[in-house]
Amino acid sequence: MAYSDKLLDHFKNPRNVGTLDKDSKSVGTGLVGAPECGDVMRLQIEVDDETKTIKDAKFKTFGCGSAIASSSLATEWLKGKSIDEAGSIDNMAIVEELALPPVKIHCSVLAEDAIKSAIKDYQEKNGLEVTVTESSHH
Amino acid sequence: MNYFEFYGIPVSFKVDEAALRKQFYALSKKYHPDFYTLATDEEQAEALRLSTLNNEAYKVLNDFDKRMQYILKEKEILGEEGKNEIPQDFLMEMMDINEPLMELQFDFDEKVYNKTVQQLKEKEDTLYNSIADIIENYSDEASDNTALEKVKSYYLKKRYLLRIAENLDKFAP
Repeated sequence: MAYSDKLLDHFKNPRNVGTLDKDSKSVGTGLVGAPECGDVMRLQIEVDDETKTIKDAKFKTFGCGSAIASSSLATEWLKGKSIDEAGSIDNMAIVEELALPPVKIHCSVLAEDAIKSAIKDYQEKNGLEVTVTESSHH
Repeated sequence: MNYFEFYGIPVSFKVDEAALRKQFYALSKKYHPDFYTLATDEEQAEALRLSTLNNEAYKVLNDFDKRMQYILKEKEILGEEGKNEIPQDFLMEMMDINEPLMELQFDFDEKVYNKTVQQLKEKEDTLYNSIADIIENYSDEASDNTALEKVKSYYLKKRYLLRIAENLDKFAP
């Protein structure tokens, strides 16, 4: 199976690997897993209080190369986005950008779920209305 | 016909593997294409179907994990990929076990390695013990979905532990 250069690049040089303070009010954490393959993905966003945009995003993923690349790409996309924009990131956009093969589409789904779950955590922490809904794909 | 019916044995997580092997060999012989060279096309096709079924059924029932997955799927307890939720606290634990693993990969430390192996073993035992009773005594008539849900949770969690064990094997001394 041939993987795209972009995918390989994100896999070999993942961006934004790390951890943000999960106890901070401006940080939202999403922790999701795909039990069938033993993948676990943590994605965190830090929201700027003034501008309400995402100023930092970090991830840590234990899983296959496609799961790592999907979450790495997601963190890149998240930075600078508003919560609403972030919440509308669709897994198919990740599939297209990385040219994920069909058997790896679930990795992009996992990344989308992680984003939504991080946003939800941030909104709940700050007493905001939760605007993200459970994923509609699969 | 499900695989258990095919061999005429009760649906169970525990299978007498030696007896199953015997049956498998006997049926392999019985449905072997060589014995049907003079048979009609229909008979040949039927023998081929049963021979294939025998191979598939044996592969699944002869393996504890595959058997468990098969029963959970047959009972429609295990959902499609991506539809099986796993509790947050377990994911967090898996994150914690995986993290030192990552470092081991770059900087091998025997102490950390042994500790992780130990941790994994304990985790596995605890998980199994929590459902051992169901596994040992499952009966298709008497057991209910609550029992099967517990087995499902065990099955899914075990995927994570197997994955970690695989990774650990990679840098075993």
